[in-house]
Amino acid sequence: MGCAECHNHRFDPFTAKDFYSMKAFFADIRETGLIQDRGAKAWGSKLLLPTDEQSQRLQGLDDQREAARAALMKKAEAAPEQRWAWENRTLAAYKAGGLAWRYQKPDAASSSNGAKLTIYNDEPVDSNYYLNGSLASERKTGDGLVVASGPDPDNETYAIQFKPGEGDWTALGVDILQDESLPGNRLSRGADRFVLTEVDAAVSGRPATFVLATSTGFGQPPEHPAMAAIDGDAKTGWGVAFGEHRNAFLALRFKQKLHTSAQDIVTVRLHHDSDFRRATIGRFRLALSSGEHSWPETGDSGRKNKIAQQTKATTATLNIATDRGLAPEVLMALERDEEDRTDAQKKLVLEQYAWAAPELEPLAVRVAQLDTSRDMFEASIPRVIYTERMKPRTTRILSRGNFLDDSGEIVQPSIPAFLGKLDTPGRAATRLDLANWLVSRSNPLTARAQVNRVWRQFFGTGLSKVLEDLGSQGEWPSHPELLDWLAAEFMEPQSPGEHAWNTRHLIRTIVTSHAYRQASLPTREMEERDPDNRLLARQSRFRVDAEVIHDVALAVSGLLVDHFGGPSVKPYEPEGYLAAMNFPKREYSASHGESLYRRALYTQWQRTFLHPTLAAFDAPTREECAVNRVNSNTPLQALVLLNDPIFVEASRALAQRMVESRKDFDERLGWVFSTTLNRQPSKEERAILSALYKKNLARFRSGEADAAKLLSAGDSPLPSSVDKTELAATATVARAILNLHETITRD
Amino acid sequence: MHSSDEKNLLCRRAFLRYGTSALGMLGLNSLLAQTRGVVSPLHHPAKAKRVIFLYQAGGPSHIETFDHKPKLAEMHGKPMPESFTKGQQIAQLQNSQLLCFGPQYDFQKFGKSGQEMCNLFPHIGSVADDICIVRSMWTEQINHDPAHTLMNTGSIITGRPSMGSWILYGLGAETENLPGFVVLMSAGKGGQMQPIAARQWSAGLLPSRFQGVKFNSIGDPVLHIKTPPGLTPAMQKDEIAAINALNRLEDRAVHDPEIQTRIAQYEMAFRMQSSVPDLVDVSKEPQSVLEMYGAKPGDGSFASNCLLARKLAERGVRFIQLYHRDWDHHSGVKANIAIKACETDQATAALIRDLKQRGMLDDTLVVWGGEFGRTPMSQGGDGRDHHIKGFSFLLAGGGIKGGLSYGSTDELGYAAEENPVAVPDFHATMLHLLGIDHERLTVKFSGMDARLTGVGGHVVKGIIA
Repeated sequence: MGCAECHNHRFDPFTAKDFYSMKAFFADIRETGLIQDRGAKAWGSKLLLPTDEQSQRLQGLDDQREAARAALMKKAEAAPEQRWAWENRTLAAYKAGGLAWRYQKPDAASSSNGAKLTIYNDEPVDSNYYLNGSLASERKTGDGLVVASGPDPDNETYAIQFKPGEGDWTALGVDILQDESLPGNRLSRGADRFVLTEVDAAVSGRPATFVLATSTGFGQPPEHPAMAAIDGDAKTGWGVAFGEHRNAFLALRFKQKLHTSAQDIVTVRLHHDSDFRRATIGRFRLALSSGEHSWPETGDSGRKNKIAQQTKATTATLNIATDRGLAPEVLMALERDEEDRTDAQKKLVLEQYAWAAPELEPLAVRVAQLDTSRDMFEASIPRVIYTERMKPRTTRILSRGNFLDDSGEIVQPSIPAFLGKLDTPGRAATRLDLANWLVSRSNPLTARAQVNRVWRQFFGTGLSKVLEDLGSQGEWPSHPELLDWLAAEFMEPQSPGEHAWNTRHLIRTIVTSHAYRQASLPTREMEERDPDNRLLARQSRFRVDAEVIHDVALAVSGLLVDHFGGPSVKPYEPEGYLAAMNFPKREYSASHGESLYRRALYTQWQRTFLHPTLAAFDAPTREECAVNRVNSNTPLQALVLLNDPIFVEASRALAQRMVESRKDFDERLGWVFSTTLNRQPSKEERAILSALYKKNLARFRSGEADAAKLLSAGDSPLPSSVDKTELAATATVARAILNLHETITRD
Repeated sequence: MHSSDEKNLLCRRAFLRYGTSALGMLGLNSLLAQTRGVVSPLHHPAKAKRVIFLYQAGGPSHIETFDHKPKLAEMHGKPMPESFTKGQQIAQLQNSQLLCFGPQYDFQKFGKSGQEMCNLFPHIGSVADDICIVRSMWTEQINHDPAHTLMNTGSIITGRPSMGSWILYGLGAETENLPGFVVLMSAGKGGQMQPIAARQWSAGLLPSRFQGVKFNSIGDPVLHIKTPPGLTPAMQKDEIAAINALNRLEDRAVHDPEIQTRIAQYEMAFRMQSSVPDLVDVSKEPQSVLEMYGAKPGDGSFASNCLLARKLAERGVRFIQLYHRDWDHHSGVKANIAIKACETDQATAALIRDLKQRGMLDDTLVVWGGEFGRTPMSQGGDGRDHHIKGFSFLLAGGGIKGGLSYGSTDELGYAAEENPVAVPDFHATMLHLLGIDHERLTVKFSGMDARLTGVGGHVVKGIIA
């Protein structure tokens, strides 16, 4: 029917009017279009689906937060004299530079898991970052910049030491700088975000305590609030996951002023222990403030550029400390007399006062804590994305599909004319009418199409080969009466006790048939008369679909986790596979634990760059509807089955089961054939695999090959009480079996 | 599951395997189809055997590359005459005042042919006499992805085969160790790296063995090309030998031609494992060659990929497509195009020179170009918007007339005026050079004979030597 978007169909009875009348059913759906600023709003309307318990807890958190906020604002409003005093202090401090962040020049930087940290103090460093969407490249002194490079472990802790000299400090600042070289949203070394799970600091061995964390807020999803960096929970953290081309800044207020004498060394540890792999910061500076209190630096380089234009400063000098510890809009409000401030400015000043003033700190901290726990809890509740209904747009026939041409005839929702008419007297047809018509007894098309698709699952080819088109451009079914009978049985089962549209009944009918239970081996006559097996004198042999290949390997090796439902999972994926994508720049971050071993059905679908294990076996990219899949047979498939870490891990796990289940190699071979291929090996097969086993066992024993390395494939645990060389050699046998054509073939 | 299942010898599979009589060998058609093309013999004698397409993604400004527009310089800052733009499709400049934006760099004449090129491209200028500049390209699509889709598949509707797939389908491969259609993507500096979808090198409605295989510049060059840690190459060889021996036994029992193909593909996979890492390692090239291209081994740059493209061409790869991104200069065209010129100029020239030295330029068609051009009007005072009515392509080798400037845009560089070349015309010409009549390379699809050139395409005879 797609052809009719531009013109009446040449071979099928679809007209352009039919196309646009069908489209009109969907004219009442609110379309949000592309949202530039990704993240929370990008997916349109969302509906939380809390359990009763979750609802109550959320309500409780809401109430507590409101109460805490009310208490804070009440106290802030109650004493204007105190606020005026704070305003004067703040303005004076700002003008004297007392709120400015003091960037520190580290003396040492080290990592726990191998990342290389390079300090650029007075040394020049290349930076490539964005200003107003254009790349700016510069080379200038680092001023305390720390750059991570080299090994890129999943989790990492950076330890930085610096000597601030004599002072009393109120806050620590972590300034995170974007750079074009960083694959994770240009901020982190991997994943699509950085997550700073915990920050701690100590002065010459004496630990300091943080009380409040405030961030620039930009690009920060609700599950990664600033306070999570100081909540003592090693898994939660502050992170930036969307938005681009901006730096990020975290201001951490000390519980008590931190005194340093001239020789004191401050050690700051930045922990990255989240479940996002390689969500580690790429470039950062550390700063201290002695102000009361310094606002996080703005991460918005675009805004910095505007300020640069206004002040004629160069962008280079603006890279640090543009706002000198106070947001420009707050500064503007403070500089006005109170009576001249707009309502918005009054509110801004009051909010800033509530955040900064020492007399309000306990209440402000309480609000921040409750905000954090409420938002993180809400983020953990499942939600659905839904489309909203609105007043239908006018739908016209677009001549030759030209959407700029609004001269076409206006159409109402209706089904293609040659298929009949919906009976909706006196009102326009709706999507519900369409849905009812699709499955009505008077419309056998839906059932025929569905039956044909299910048939393909069990015979490799539909009764009509062209699954997506049962019209004149499709193929006349090989067994039209059978197709009709199955469709009728699907819609109105004759078997007692079955209900209509029951797919399980349909499948049972098919798999208990004589046709299904036939052998797949053709006789010479069958081969000559019906090479494609359209007449069904035998069963078909066909390679199973991508997802099944993955699931079979996991199932026989015992790795498969067959939970039902839940969010998508991310199995291992080669590094750099997403490098051709952009906006935002991202790196893949594989899941952990059970999520690595779910059925491939649950693998996250990345449109345009489908998971390569599935793509190799002809899974469609889902850029457009693909009803049928054409099986290919390529060397890339061999490379996946041989070398893809999930299949290597599966061979190792299958070998483990072989070793655990039987004592000697011959019995193990029998067991693995029976488990994987549902038959026993022949003498020749035994000979081939025994030879492989013996040869490889000798290689592992002699040290020519590294058993421990092979066995380290994947995340699943390895039992400690195994003979590693024996297990590794067995794994090479298991690997051969998982690679067999027979293993990936339904026969 | 234990002892009982082993005794279950008469399960269905075992019965199938041993219970029926053997059959004769089936044909190896599916296997041979992989190397032999459907255009056999060729429709006419070929001038080119292979194509290297240096795809400059994002839409290079023709006005700062190969289309000299002095009149536009004179008009700089003045309103664009309405006669040019009225009723025309524009992208982000809708509803804004259209001002002329003069070329940001000077042009000069290069070579004996005196072809005019922007002086940002002195290296390409140095091979000007081998190059044909087509200044009258035009396209239909004003956004990146559909424009890429049109350039690659001849259609704006996704799902059609890419040109590399068509050519591989038509001509087959000349190598059994490498895929016949290889895609490379280079790293570079850039602010607007528009994403490129894997569908751009898809086989569409052709069998998927004709799809492009992307070699990566990060990690393994081909996914999973490395033998798993802990195993030696000899063990991998034995493993594949065992798998193939078992598959042969299976084939003896069930006579499935897919098994023969599977065995051949495992052999090819092993050959790729041996050849690809060596192939992509350009560090063994002589220093003089590295310097000529400006390539540093392992940097994943356009220069390294040009050198790799030459190596792939030497080994018989039919279609090599090298994407270089970030020509999308909506802003800061002056600074940004200088970066891109710096990244591509020397290596492009080096590739042409290198092929020529090796006697391969005669039968290798080299193409340099993107999905569209950029407006002669300014965007935001220092950039240029997407533009479909006129842009430039460079062609060299493979039967192309060198030292020729073909076609032109109007005096302001807005629309192709003399000898306009549509995307299907380019496709038809490329196929013609390869010995294929574009109207006769077709597959049945939806009741039509689908072809790369759709319902259009005229061979541009004027650029053929």
